[in-house]
Amino acid sequence: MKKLLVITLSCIIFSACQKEEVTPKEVKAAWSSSDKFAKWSNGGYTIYNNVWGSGAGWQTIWANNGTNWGVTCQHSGGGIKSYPNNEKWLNKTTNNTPWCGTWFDVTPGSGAFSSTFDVWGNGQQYEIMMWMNKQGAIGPIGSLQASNQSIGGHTWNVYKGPNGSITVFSFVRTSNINSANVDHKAIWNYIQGKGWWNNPTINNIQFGFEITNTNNTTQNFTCNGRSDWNG
Amino acid sequence: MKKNQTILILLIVIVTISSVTGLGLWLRSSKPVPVEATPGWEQLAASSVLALKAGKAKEAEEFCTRAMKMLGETGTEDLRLVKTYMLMGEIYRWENKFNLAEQSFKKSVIICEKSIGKDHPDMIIPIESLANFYYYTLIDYDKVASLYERIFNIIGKISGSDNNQLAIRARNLADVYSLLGRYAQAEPLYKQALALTEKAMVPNESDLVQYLLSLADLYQKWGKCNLAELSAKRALAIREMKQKESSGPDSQLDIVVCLDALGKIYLGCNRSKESELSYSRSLKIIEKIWGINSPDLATRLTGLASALRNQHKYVQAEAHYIRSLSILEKGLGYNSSEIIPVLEQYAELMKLINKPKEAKTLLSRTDSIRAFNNN
Repeated sequence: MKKLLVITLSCIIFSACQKEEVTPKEVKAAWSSSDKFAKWSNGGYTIYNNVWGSGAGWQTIWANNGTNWGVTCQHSGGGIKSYPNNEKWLNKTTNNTPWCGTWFDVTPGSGAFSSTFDVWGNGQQYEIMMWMNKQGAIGPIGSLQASNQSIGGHTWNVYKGPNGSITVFSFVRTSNINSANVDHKAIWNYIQGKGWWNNPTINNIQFGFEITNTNNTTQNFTCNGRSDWNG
Repeated sequence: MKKNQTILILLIVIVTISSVTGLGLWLRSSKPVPVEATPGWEQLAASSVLALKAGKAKEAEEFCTRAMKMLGETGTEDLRLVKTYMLMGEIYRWENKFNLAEQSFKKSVIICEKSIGKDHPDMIIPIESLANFYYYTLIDYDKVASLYERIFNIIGKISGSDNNQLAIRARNLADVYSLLGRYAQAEPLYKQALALTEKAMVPNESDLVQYLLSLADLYQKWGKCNLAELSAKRALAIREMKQKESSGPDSQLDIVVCLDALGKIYLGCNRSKESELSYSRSLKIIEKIWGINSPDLATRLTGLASALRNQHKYVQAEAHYIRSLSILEKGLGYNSSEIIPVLEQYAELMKLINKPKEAKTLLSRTDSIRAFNNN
């Protein structure tokens, strides 16, 4: 009887603790992790979980391969909580890259987030951010340089400004989209044409979700596929 | 040959280092910028940005603090300190520490003023960061306006200043005035941007169009329909002329931008038939480029539906609203904020055809989407 009481009490205490704890969802995939800074390489891509920010909830990253991946997460409140992304290295100068593009297809969850490319040039001298889907009040660094610029099959508002020692070029698509071909070379030509850089080395191309909140509900952000090409 | 190569490599290294350490020297001035000599700052600043990008805000803060301390030894005359405070502002902004962010951005302005003087062209960089913070984070357009005025005045004072930069700054200031409803102050600035662009030996068509469309948008908000139409039509004519030379997707999208502007102007000016024509044309181009299920169709479908609704073509209008909703729900998600304007316009139609219950249901969905996205 005494033993039964102890077991019952233990169960009650355990279940009460469980209620307060935020439990990441189990995911069936080739790889998954709930570690805040988990990373996994496959097929020439590296996938990062990248969870930060005060008040970040839980986030589990999964991947079937380097280009089919996603996160299941729950975040609330303001401020960016995470930038789960996959990364492809290029390490070629723009002049030596006659073409370069990425196709992506995503299914984001609901909430405040953006689907964003982050392209790095000359180490950390240049950064190109391409905002494909922007939900929420966060905006680009610097000042508006040109509005409604049709470049590589998309229409963008173009911003430029410094972040520390980095010059950031932001291309904010004038409407949101979840699946598209992106012509990086056209963007690089535009920047070169403006005289903002001179034939830098493009190091890596990251693509992912900058997540602020999911209204404290569990949401899935999925990259159904991504493919990159360059010449 | 080997010696020449060595000299060449050395030159490249020197030029690269100079360009990396410069503080946005796209504008030249007579007053020389202090020379940056201390090694290690670049690395700390870059590491700080990278840590932030990798989601390690605390680490970013530590790198930034170390960079500040390093510069503290060389005194506040060092312009790198300006950039470091700007960076710290960005870090605090990402961490939602808005008071600290504002203090850091302000401090960068003060240090820069002390170092190079209030009217030096490089003052623009910290002022712009502070303005950016007010624009996107605190959403305080009055403060943005006063900072943009300052930037515009600094550029205006530079003898032989770049007309393109002056035009950009005039437009940016006008945009903020327009947001504040200060239309009479915005108009001359847009006109100035346009005039500066027209003055060039070979005017940049893309710039002409963007300033014409900004002016058209202003006139539309101001209720000056004829002037709005004139500006937008001129922009369209420029794009159509260009399309004769190149008919690729980009030049077609350039036309779409102008057609959308005209569609919106006509809709706001009760010229629904013309609005219908503009939106129909724009819709066809987008369908051709992006396919029949692209979320890019939604704004055009909604515009077209509203133009039809205003002409009492209710059945057609409803079909377009429904298609727009369906595309957005499938393409961007059931709670996407883009759905709100479609639901609102659709609700107007329901009211017109005496279906208040349906209108109420549509509007209550806008409330729940807002609540969902603002939480």
